[in-house]
Amino acid sequence: MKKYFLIAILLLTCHYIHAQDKITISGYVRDKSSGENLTGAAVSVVETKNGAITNDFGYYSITLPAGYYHLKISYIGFMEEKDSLKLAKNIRKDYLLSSSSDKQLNEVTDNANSGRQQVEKTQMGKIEVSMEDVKKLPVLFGEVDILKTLQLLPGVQGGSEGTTGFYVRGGGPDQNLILLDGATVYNASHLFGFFSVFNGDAVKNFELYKGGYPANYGGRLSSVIDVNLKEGNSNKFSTEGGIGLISSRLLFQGPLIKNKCSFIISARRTYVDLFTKAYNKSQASDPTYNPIPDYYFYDLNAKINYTIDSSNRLYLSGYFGRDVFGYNRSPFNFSFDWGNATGTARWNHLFGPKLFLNSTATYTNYQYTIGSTADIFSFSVGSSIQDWALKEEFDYTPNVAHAIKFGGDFTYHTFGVGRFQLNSSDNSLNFHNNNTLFGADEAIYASDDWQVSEPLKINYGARLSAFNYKGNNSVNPEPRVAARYKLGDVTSWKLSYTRMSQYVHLVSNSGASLPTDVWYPTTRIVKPQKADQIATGFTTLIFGDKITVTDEVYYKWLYNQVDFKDGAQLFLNPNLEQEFIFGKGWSYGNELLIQKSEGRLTGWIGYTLAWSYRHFDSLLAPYQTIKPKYDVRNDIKVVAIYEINKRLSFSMSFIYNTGTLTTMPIGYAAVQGIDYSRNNIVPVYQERDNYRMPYYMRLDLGLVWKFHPKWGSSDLSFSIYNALNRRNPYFIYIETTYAKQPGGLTLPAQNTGQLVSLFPIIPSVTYNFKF
Amino acid sequence: MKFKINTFIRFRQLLPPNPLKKPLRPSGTSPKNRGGVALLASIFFIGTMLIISSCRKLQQEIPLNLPPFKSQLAVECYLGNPDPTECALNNLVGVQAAISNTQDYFAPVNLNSLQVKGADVTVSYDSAGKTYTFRLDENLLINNCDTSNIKLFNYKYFNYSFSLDSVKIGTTYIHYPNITTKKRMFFHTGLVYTLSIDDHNGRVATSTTQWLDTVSINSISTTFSARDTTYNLIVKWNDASYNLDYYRMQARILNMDSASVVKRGHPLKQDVTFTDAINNGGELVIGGPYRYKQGDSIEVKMFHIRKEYYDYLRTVGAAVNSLGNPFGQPATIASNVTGGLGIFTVLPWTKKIIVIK
Repeated sequence: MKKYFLIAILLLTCHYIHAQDKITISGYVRDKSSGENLTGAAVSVVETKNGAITNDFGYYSITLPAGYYHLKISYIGFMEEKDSLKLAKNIRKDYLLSSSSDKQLNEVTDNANSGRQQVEKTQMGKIEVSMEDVKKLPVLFGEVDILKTLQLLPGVQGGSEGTTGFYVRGGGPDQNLILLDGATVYNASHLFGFFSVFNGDAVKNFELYKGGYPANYGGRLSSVIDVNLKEGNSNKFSTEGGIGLISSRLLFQGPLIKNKCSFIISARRTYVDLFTKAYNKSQASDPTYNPIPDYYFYDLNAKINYTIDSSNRLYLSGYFGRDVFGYNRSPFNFSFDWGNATGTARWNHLFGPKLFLNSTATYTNYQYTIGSTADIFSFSVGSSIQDWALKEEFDYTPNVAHAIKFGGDFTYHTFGVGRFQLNSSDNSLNFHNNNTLFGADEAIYASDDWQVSEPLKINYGARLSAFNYKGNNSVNPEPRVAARYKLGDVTSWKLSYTRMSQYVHLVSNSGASLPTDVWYPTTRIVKPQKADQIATGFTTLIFGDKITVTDEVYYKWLYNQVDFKDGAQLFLNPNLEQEFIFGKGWSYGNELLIQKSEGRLTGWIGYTLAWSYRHFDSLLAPYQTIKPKYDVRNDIKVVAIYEINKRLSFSMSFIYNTGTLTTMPIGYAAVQGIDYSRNNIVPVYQERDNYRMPYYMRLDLGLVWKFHPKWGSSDLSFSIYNALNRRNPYFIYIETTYAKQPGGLTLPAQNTGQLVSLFPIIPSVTYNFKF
Repeated sequence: MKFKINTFIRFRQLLPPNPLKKPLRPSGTSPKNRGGVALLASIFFIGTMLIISSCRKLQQEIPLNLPPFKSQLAVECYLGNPDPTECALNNLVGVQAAISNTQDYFAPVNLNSLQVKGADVTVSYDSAGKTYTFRLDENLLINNCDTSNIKLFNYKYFNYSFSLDSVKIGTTYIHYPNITTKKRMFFHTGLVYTLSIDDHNGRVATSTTQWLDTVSINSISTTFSARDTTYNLIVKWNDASYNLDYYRMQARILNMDSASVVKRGHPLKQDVTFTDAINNGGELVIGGPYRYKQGDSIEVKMFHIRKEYYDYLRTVGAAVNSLGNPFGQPATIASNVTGGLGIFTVLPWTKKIIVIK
């Protein structure tokens, strides 16, 4: 593996030696008001019509021949900066951009043109939405949620109604890599998927990759969601928060040492349990009263950064969140808690103006525990996954024609597949079982974003990944290629091919994100999942560059796909491998995105036409080829945000998609059983996902009303979820009524299809403040 | 109290001024606009409240166009050892089978369309170089089922069976004079049985199964919950082997009268299936809920079951539970019947009775 790595580096770097006599300008692009690094900001050189994009830490580096240059520094949502420089020696220069929200509305049109960047870059299948826009969009129960915002994008299919689960380009829910400051988040939801673990106040930015994956990402087949927390305001102390229908938030940030060290800490908690506890207490004297179970969730985010000197910076960040469910009625007590904990330590180091190192150590843990006591017995089950990971990521920019990335990562996994314990206080019972598995994955990668000529740019690279389980090594090369060819000034055609490998697999047959879902490693029986994806498309600007139109066609081949036997026993099963079935899949489609990022009216229209298939030889013949439930043929999304004036903004989102698939029985059998204890009418299923539910359509409306109190700022955010009050399908079932026939025989008299919806129209309001 | 007042004052400072009482400080919006904002907010809430109040039900009937349906043979055929308290002969096997047609959800159903009548149903096994074949009789009811008032979904009803030398119906032993000792079906561990069904309408179903060891219950003890004066059972037995074994346990209160059934529910209080995966080869223990009262006479049956039957029960349970459950996973029934859908299995069992004093 080391050998391949060295060869790759040599190949990528050998022809850049001649560039040594040129001059380099480098530095950071930051938010003027908070000092936060701006990721993905464009630093353009007017004379050469190229430039650099800041990396995840706001760093840029441009190497040019000596001379006089004009620079434009732009970032979506911020005012563009211009600069003129005479390059005679290496220069270190940081730029501070002002948020466009700080200016009058008529100045916003001077905003950075993100469409230009999309035309220029080789990257396909990547979408970013600013947190400012996310906070303006209508939400369910007043909770801002970045994962639900992702569901408004083309190519991303939402899971069950109201939940944060999502499917990207025909991939499964476990094929999405979710990173929080570089640490993997294994279960990114609260309350059985209705809310994500990401507190919108603490998130700086997030990116979604649906294809054309950069070589530094790996480990999942279908998407990467890279979420970065704010670093903390380095200029002044500030507090912000919100009071919502179900939760409240508070964030505190500020400098510890001016321009050297800053911190941020934020928390969120639901408070329904405070009312249920009080009510339970008031009813305590009633012996017949059954207490309402307690439920709450909370999140804590913290981050601190310290600038050692101009070449070294340290970051420490962490997340801790829990869902807690409890029921206490002596002598029976039941508890169920689950949650994630992540920790990240980062060191940014500049070896020189051209070579940037991001060294990251992460820890992540997800676990659930169900505990119960009844009289003298106690019972507990649980599962967990824990990772320790180290990543070394280098950005090397030898000249304006090349942006090289190389590095490697190592992750050590501990899978607590099934913990089980049963005890009694009199020692008459004492059982426990703990099936713990270990595995390690490692990868090295290298890529180069190469401006071959004015119209042609190629991003080529590879990732070599491996997974080790009990001495069994699975090594997989993952080539990554993307090309962009400009057809004129405002249009480019793009092409990409990527291969991804996935070594951990989600054990869930519920069709929903449940806390009891278990992650399982690649073993001798369970092979790594793999996917090849090709995509091609174009990006063009229309209406005076104000609107960006992107269209991508993709085809994806999926190998070693994991599913489950019928009636699989996944809970409390130490031999989970016996429950798996293995197969292949393929999906293809077209995604159209029309986006307007500037002016008073912003938003996008997305349309996806897609197909997805899976094939499992071990399924009942001839129904081995199936369409997964998230095979949605037509998907339309419209999102609009209109700034009525500086204090009022209106937003709407509209979703229409072909109904998702569900499994319906073709008939029923009358099952007698050895005793009359069993159910007698048993649905007979034949083919999985054989029935398409009615279409889904939802209109959400939002209004943000800003105030300017004596100090700070505040707003009221109104939302109407499902403003059309449409009964969208949640699930369908067959309801049977029985009747006695002559002779006393009881048989089904009528069977009817019943469609169940989850949410009618849901209004909500949240009060947000900042000072 | 003082703290609360101060907190309230501070909180008030965070709140925006009331737009209806006091003009907001100028910041680009005209007074006319501000009035519009207030009106807009009012309309927002009044409108949404009105819409909510007119909410329809979240469940509605819809037409379903299910995939084409073709009826198939639904088979349940069980080979069991007789209750030693009811039949003194050793190693005899009783057979009962329920053979029916699977049904279309949207077609009318009655007993005639449900049951398969006139089929040839045989069970055979090889022993000492000979093949013994037994034809099952149709409509030979061997249980305390009232044939004049058949309640298919309330009472046990099998339409084919092979009787033993004598069978207990209610409290009476019925002897079948036509069944000679030559027609007795025997069992021993490892013996393979074959089921064959021909309905004379072109449908033929076959299956095989193999006899298992019986397991004996070592002990049954109880624990007491003082809160509601109930007991639970702790049943212990030795695992049959170091292979993966499957069990089904049933516990039934024997001395419940009809008034008790109305009050306490069905006498069958526990019916669970499980494997020995957690403690393979050792003494197995199963507890249960607090459902028993002082004076109850409880019969505990322990079935040593085959994997096919365990999978069948599991998938039948999953299929039933998945309908109407958004978190459920629909399952096709794990069948070991070729040419049909269902189960053919042996059911070796033992029992113990405990009286809670």
